[in-house]
Formats: sequence, structure tokens, C-alpha cells
Amino acid sequence: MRIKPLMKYNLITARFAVIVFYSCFMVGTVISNVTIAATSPSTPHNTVSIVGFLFFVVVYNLTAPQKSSRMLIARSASRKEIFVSQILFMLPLSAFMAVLQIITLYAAGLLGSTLSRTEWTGLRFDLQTAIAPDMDNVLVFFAVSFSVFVCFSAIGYFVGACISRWKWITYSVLIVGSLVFFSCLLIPDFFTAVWEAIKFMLFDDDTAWFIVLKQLALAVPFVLAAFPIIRRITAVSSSTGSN
Amino acid sequence: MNNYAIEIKGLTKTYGSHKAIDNMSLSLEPNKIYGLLGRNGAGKTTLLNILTGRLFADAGKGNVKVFGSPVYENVDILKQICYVEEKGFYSGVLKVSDILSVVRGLYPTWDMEYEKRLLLLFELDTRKQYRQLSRGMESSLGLVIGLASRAPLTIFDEPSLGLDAVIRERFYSEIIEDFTENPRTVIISTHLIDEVNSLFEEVVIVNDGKLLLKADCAELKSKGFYLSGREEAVRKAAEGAVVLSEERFGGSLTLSVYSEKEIAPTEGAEVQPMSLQKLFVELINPMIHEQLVKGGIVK
Repeated sequence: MRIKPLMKYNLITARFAVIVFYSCFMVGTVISNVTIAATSPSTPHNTVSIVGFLFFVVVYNLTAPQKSSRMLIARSASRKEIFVSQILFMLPLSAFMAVLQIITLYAAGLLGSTLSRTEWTGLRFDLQTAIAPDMDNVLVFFAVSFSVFVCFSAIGYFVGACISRWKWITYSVLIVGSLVFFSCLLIPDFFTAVWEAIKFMLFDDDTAWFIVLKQLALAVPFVLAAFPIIRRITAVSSSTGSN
Repeated sequence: MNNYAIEIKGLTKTYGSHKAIDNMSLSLEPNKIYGLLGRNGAGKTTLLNILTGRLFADAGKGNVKVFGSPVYENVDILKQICYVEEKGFYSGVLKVSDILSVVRGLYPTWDMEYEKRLLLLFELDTRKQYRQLSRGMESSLGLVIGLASRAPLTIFDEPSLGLDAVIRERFYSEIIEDFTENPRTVIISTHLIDEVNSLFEEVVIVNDGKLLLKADCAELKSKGFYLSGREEAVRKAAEGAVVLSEERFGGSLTLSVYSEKEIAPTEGAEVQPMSLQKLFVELINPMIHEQLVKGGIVK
């Protein structure tokens, strides 16, 4: 398998997206921290930053099977090679984004406390201690972020593969499914069940390592389900068969 | 076991109710340059897409083999195929150097020194992003990839789109020169028939998803004639040939004919060779084709 050149292609295409995303994200974080520091005496908390990174990995993996696969199939790469390289690439990308998130938290926390002239409450306050007791450990925090990014990447990749194969059917299912899902949230029992599921996946009373395990376990079926779909995608964009 | 570069049997591809490829069978020998000709929508690109594993034939309808093996998910075969399409799918932010650095890893036969020479020959700036390239530069990048890949099966789909005359001539010279030193199977799909036909050893003409003709290019060209002069002399000279079209200018008559035998000029009837493009235009006319089939000249 020609994994090396394909990983290189993934790296080259991701490089630009990561730089643009992180530049915007960093600027946004600094501005928000300066604003908070100017209006409030407390240190800004940046735990919510994970949402931005999640958004990035989901969008990246949504588009990867659509755009990169086409180009690579056109350059005589097999679908299996493309699949393996894209799944493998999720790991360093997620790890890198988890590191960037930690850097952002440190930098933004330090900046916020300096500007507001308050004592920095430290990582233990910023680091989502609510989700597990050992989350103030940087390694544990990294592992949780990494596993959540991998899990969401896998879901994004699966959806992206479906869009590549059945574009309009997938869009229809996503739109109708979302409408039904959000409508059902109005039903108290359903809402409770959803909340319990989220709590099960993202919170733990003992250790965050269980969260890591659960996230990675959820990623596996999405990755496996994406494989047969990727094996049948074509490099032809229109129904007429022309390029 | 045969040693065809490409072997297609009973291939069919439909889009809804439209048959883009209709029960096509075709065999191409290795180490030749083929011209794939056909009108827009004739099924050329669909055929090439299926040949290269980018698109699937209808289930159970057709058997496609490249170098004796099926293409689909066959890495050993895929790495021997380089298909240079009309339009690349490259991300616009990628630099030419980035694209080449990835692509050269996909073909084991890639020639790095040759790539450098081709970049100079086609005047391609590797620092430019793909989106900054003009249409002609995009085509030039395709030419560099196709030639430098040295892939045993190299396919160019409209390789000269947007290229100026100088670069086109350089490409034609280069492909012949490189082919002489490194023979491989090359398929060139083009509408610039007269300009490129000197490269072809054989031509494959497709029309309405069907194989119309596969013939030796020089032989095919030797069968098309213009006969002009006095009507009786021209008609006499054209006896036994299939008349493709006729035009009158005052008292003289010009016939375009397809003849299996060479036609010699006679008194009152001049004979001129017909260009491949003109012959192609005539041959894809359904009525003419029917005559040729009836006459047993083509299948």
C-alpha cells in the first residue's frame, strides 16, 4: 500500500486548514479574554474552546472523503489505500488539535489573569474538572480531548463518506433526522434519555480514562461502517460521467 | 493468456435511461499510441473512467482488464495507470510542488530527472498555487505528470486544452521522443484530430456509447479520398468506393469517398487524400456508417 504519499497529501491539505483555523481561533480567544478581563474581575475560562476544535475536526473529516478521495482516486490510488490513510491521519490530527487546545488554554488563562490582575486560578479551574475528578492532570486532559476529537472525526468521516456516495439522500436524512430529533427533545422522557446518554459518554465520577475508552469505542463502529461506503465511491462528480 | 494492455468485453454503463457505454468490446495491444476519438457525449470519458477504476460499469455488465487483471482495487495495476484528465481535482491552495511531491510517490516508475526537464520545457512555476494556474498551465501540469510518471498505461484526456501552439508542439515532440526510448501504452483522447493524428498508431472511434471503428491510423487515412473534376470522370473513379458526401462547384463535382483500394487519378478526376478529421466526421454519420456496415467494410 502506498500510505506514505497519501499521508503526505493529507498533511499538505490539512496544513493550510489548520493554520487558518488556529489563527482565527487564537485571535478570537485573545479578543474575548481581553474583553472579559476589561469588564469583569474574574479570570476567563476557556473550557468551551473544545467546541471550536471539535467543529474543525468534524468539518475536516466531513470534506476529506469528498474532496481528497476524488483527487486520489483520479491519481490511481485504491479506495482501500485512501481509507487507511485518512483513518490513520485522524490520529495525528486529533493529537495535534488536543495539544493546540491545551496551548490555547494555558495562553488564554495566563493572558486573562494578567490583564484582570487577578490570581490565575490555574488549570484545575479551566480544565473541565466537572467531567471527571482527574481532569486537572494535563495528560488525562490531553487523552480526553484526543479521544473526543477522534470520535467526532470518525462520525464526521462516516457522514462525509455517505455524502460522497449518496449526496442528496444523505442531506435529506440529515435534515429530516435533525428535525425529528430536535422535535423529540420536547418530550421530557426523550430529553432525559439523551442527556443520560451524553452524561454516560462525557462524564465519569471516577476517572476520565473511562471517557477515553468510551469515546474510542464509539469511534470504531463509525470507522468500520465507513469502509464499505468508501470502497464504492467514484471519482466522477456528475451523473453524466464527465469530469 | 493474451497480452493485451486493455481488454474490454461487453461493457455497459447507464446513467438513468441513457446508455453511455453500450455493450462495448475492445482490445488494445501494449506499447502503442492510440487516439480515442468521438463527439462530446460519445462515451469517451466514461470509458476512460471505467478503465482506470474511477467509475464502475453496470453490475454484471462487462469485463474490464488492464494488463490481464481487473482494475478495481488492484493496487498492482492501479500504480501502472496514469490518467491525466481534463480537469484535476487538486485543492486550489496546493502548490504545484506539493502536488508533484505527492503524485511522484504514487507511481513507482516516476522519473524525477525527467520531471525537472519537463517543468522547464512546459515553463511551469512550481511555487504557484493550483488556483493561480491558467487553464493552459493546468494542462501543462497534467502533461508533466503524465509523461514523468512513465506509467505503462498513460491516458491523456484532452491534453492540449488551453495550451498555446508552442507548448502543444513541444508536447507532441516530447511524447514521440519519450515513447521511442520508453515504450508504453498511451491513449490520447482529443478533438484536435488533425493536429495530433501524426502521433497515433491506431485510432479508436466511439459513437453513442458504441465502438465504431478500431483501425491502424495510417491505413485508415489511406482510405479517405477527395475526388474532384468532371462529374462523369469523378463518378467513374469512385466506382466501388463508398461515397461519404458530395459537393458541386459550378460544373465540377467533388466527392468524399471511403475506399478499401487506392484510387488513382484519371483524366478529368483529381484525387486528394482526406484528412483524418474529415474522415472521422463522415464516419460518425449514422447513414454513412450503415453503408459501411452493409458493405462489410466495418463491423
